Amino acid sequence: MSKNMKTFEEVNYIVKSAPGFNKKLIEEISLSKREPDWMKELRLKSLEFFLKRPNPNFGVDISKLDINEIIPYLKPNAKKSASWDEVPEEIKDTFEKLGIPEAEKKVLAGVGAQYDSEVVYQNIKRQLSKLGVIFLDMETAVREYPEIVKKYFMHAVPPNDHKFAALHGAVWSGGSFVYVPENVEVPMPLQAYFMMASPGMGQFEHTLIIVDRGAKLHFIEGCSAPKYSVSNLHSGMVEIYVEEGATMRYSTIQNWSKNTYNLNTKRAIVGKDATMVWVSGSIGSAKTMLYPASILKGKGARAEHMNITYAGSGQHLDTGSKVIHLAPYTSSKVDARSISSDGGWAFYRGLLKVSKLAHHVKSSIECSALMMDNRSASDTVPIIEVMNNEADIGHEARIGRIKEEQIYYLMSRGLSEDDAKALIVRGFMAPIVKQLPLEYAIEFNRLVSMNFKSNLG
Amino acid sequence: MALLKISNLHAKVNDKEVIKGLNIEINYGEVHTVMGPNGAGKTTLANLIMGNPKYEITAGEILFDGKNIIGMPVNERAQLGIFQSFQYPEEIPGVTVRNFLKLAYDTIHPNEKMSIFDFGDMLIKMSDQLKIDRSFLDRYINVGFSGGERKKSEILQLNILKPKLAVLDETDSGLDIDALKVVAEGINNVIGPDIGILLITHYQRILDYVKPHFVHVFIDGKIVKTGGPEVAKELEIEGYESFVV
Amino acid sequence: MVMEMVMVRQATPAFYTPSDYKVDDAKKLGNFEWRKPFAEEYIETGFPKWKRLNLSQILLGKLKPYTGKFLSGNAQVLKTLDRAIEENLVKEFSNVEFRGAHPKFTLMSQAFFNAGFFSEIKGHGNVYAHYDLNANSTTIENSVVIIRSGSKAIVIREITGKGKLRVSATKFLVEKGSKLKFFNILIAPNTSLSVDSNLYIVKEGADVEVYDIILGSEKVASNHEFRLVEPEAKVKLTSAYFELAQERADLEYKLIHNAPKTFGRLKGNGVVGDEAYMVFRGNIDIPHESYGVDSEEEGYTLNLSPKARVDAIPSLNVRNNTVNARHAASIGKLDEQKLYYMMSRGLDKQMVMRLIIEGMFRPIIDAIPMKLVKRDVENGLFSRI
Repeated sequence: MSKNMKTFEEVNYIVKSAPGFNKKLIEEISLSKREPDWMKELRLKSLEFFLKRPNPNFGVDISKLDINEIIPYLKPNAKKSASWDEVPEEIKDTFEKLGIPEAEKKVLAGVGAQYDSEVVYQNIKRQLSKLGVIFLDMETAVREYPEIVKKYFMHAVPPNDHKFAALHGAVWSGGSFVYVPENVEVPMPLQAYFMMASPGMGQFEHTLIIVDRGAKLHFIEGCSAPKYSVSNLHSGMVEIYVEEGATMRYSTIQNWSKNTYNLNTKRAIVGKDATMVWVSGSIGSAKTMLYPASILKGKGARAEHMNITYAGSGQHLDTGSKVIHLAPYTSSKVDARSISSDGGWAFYRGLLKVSKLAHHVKSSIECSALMMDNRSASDTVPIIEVMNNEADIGHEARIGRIKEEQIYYLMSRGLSEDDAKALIVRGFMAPIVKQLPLEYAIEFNRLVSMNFKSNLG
Repeated sequence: MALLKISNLHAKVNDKEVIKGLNIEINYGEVHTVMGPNGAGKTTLANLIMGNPKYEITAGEILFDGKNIIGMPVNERAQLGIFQSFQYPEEIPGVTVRNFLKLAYDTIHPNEKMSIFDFGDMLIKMSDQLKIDRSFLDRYINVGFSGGERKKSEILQLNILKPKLAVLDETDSGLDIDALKVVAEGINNVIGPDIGILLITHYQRILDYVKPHFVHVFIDGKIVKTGGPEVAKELEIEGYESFVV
Repeated sequence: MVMEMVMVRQATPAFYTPSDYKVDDAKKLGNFEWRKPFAEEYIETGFPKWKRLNLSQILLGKLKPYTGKFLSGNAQVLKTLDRAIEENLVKEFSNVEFRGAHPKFTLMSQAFFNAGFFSEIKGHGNVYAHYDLNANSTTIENSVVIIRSGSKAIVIREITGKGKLRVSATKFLVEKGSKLKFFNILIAPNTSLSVDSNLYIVKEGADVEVYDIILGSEKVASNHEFRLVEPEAKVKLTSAYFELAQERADLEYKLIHNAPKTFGRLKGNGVVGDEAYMVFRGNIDIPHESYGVDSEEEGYTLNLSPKARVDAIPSLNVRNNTVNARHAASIGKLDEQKLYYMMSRGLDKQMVMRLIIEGMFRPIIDAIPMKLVKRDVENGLFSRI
């Protein structure tokens, strides 16, 4: 302990000065998107907040993140794509193993701007318009549905919420907008994938979803194929409004390339008797900070969070969940699992808050972490704040390893050690992976097996 | 050539010698039973045949189909055709009995690969035949299984994986009469000219249903007497003390 | 007696106002040479900004020596800390730094203590320290206990009465193969602030059992840090607390497994009611070299009132995978089923509550080896139910 103990106030990091990151750049961006004034104002306000806010004092180390490096990619007409040669071998390899079709490979790798998902997309568009569902890329929605968008855009997560929300507000680009009218049940899951060809290339996309009273939607973001982009910062945002009696399910898998900083904000406001389900699988990126949040605002609202995080060599994945019970008779359930292996670091950070007025709340949180070896690290730091006594709160966490006996048992049935480990790990992840859409689940399992040098299909 | 031939085996665990010069020979088509008091090392024998790394073999040899398997890793032994039914099999959360068995089957019988549907049919047929509830197949292996369910699960595996040598470790302990019958039925179902059975037990109850050709009495780390079914009768009357040297 | 108020709103470096203690204040208390370095560091350190305890002001009373006898027991060496320093007995531990609840308070204890004891236990020993805040409204304690190899020690520390400030820093060195049972009992409702920091260095094969009983003070910070530094060290801590009115308690327990094959169990259970606020922080830390560790923490809080608040922050930091590391926390109210069942046997709600709460404390009370102390705890508990 140091001799001259200072106080415990936060040490304020000064933002690395980025001269090119200024009002002029933001105005350029807004202009190129032909945005209404109110959106331009929002961007400028966000810029202000970003420049003032200190970096978060928890989570992953972002000291090496240099805003200067991403500026070139923010400019309209800037070079947005890599050439196929620049794409890392490791990624090309995974594409092969997962059997990704040629055209898709290029889009995923950030090479080439167009992917003709048009045919599939057109079909869906027809069905949706019959139901009155609006599904567009976010930028077009800003122009075509200003009243709705303005009402909701960055209201769940305002620009001054935290530093990266501010960054996002200033430079957001691309993303999806979905509006599901009252009592409409969307028959198929909608995918962010359809919007991939839009400008912005997924780094700062903003997804805004409104599920009106009694409606039902399943939205899928991301894909398990590795995504490579020339810019190494992904700071997206997802805002979801689940109105009375509606049901929303949001599934994500992220497998960003190993040089990426993945700093996301996802938040849902859940109304009376509505249900929100988050299913997230994180396997990529160098550093991730991801805490899907559910604000249970209406009486009887319900949230379910399921995460699976796999942190391998060189990765620091700081993931978790935030559930805030603001109303009575609300309930929540969190099942968070992580695996750390080959020196990877998995950190579960959770917040459960039950406010004074939230009586008859029930919540259960379970975190399990599997450490494959001693080079890896695993932490769980849940914060539980309960301000009403008519609440039934339970939390449990466990960190450990695979039992030797389990490996032996599987080997006694013929499996090799690698296959046995891969199978056990798959079993560990199974309850969550099976909540993902089938193709994603299969791919996720395959990705994990690959990490074990196992050929388990 | 014998299916399994163990000669003068000595082994220790935690620096304590537990197998002290064991000899046994099992041929295809034969049913052997090894009986002995608790703590005699019977489970150790099973573990040594399967290849549990916790034990150190200090002398002797174990020949399977004429091949010395000492030092061979457990999964290779499984692939050669050795199967152990464990007394306390491990729970593997998230992995269903169905998926697990398909995987194991494909690994052990690579030349007899079946489609998922054919395999599923085989599983159902076998479960019905063995009077094991079909719902078993979609439960996670051994998770929350009662003692009886665990034993049945192991016996189902035995029937599906078709090994050459089945080492059944205390398959009958803790079972009620109905479960015992199911297990015995499951064992009888595999007995035939292409398999050798080594049934390790403490009680002679299961022998009412599974008829052994040879009975070995196992006391303090080695086999002290070998005979036919009459030896089992003797044990029932005299108890194990009469065999202790 | 002059009460001096210190407004602590902004914690800034090198915070020093005329209202805080000065280095010279330590002179009046004796053994100045020993106290001086701590006092110097103390004035360079600021007060903490504790948002959960809402610590915006501390009443620092005038420093004077403790009146009355607080120490009794039977041990190889057992003296007040003053005497022990005079006799040059306190050598070990003067270099072991610990932050405790906050360095400002551990430094305060080491610089300005007016109470405290030193004990060295060989063979068998027991220590009973009882501080009465009625007679000593500012009690600052600094104590050291050394338990030699193979010895068995029972230490009971009881704080009762109504005072302004109680600060304590205690260090235990539990040597190879020895056993410690420590009962840390706070029954001081209406005392403004109690800050209690305890450090335990636990060596090979040593066995430590701690009971932390908290029945009031308006604001309580209780900190216990266990450093298991050699293999086979074993620690078990049971904490029982009952907070009412506007009381606030911030309890922090840390198990630091700095050696392989060490064992830890943290168990907290208690009750909050009225508008009280309780924070339970359990931390299990298992660094890379510590294999074969078995460590669990568990917290259960019964919340009787809609205005009371409970926070739980149980954390696990693990860098070795051959371990069993687990934590569980649950917060709830009186189980409706249990209530109904007992009422169907004729009891009313009050009686049922009393039974259940007593049931939570009973195992700990039973473990206390001194009848008088047992009775104090029972009275303290029953006056709250």
